[in-house]
Amino acid sequence: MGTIESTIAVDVAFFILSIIVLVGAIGVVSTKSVFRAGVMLIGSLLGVAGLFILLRAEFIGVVQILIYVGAISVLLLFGTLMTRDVEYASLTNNKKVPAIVICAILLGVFIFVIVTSQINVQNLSDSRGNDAYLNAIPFLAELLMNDFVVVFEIVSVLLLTAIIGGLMLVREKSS
Amino acid sequence: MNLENFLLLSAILFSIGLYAVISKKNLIIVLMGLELMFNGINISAVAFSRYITPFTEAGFVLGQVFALFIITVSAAEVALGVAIVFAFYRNKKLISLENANILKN
Repeated sequence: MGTIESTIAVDVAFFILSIIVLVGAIGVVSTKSVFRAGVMLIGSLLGVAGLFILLRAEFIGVVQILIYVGAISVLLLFGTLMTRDVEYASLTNNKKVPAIVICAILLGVFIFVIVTSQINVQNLSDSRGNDAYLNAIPFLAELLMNDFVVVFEIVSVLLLTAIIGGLMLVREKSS
Repeated sequence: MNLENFLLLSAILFSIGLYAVISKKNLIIVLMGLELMFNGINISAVAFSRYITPFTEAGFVLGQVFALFIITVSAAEVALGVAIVFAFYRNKKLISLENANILKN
């Protein structure tokens, strides 16, 4: 397995960001308060954005902050505040132990596959890589507008449909 | 930094999100778990495109295109999900999934 950019700074940044991501994710499933779970989710999503920037995907990192942290988390927190009721707490149902067992088995399978599979990793630390593709945004735009333009349009129609459907669902019934 | 580190982090994040989706009663927490699962997938997609094919122009950003589409679809999913939560809350005054049996009879 080849290593890339094995500087101490990248390792430390990855360690700190993964700690932030995992603590946030565990906080989402372990706190009783739904609002605190939302705040923990924001922390976890910010950590994932930092990981994207660490992977040289700066555009995806900025999109992650704009859409996830800016829109989706605010929407979820807004939903939390609008629906405070008697079952306010983030309780688990009576399938808690089977859920933990299923997730642990799935995680074990994932770890087994990841550790035992031979993945052909390119070595990025040679002379070509780092400077030539530092700015990935032109390639991203070219790929989105040429090869994936049909998917791009379909996804935009999907988003429009979802927004109209959401508006229809929450519309006040006018008699 | 190895590819395995990113893949392991993505697998752990996916499993925590799956636990939230399976075991939580509150609909909003279930939506948060779905977001965690999407983020795990996105990390692995971007890490694969960074590590497997970094020297071809399409390969370097292919996983990023996948991640962009996943982010867009998850935004649509959350918009619909929160709309369903509001409609359900207006009907039942509850957002517990155990009371979501309107279609049962």
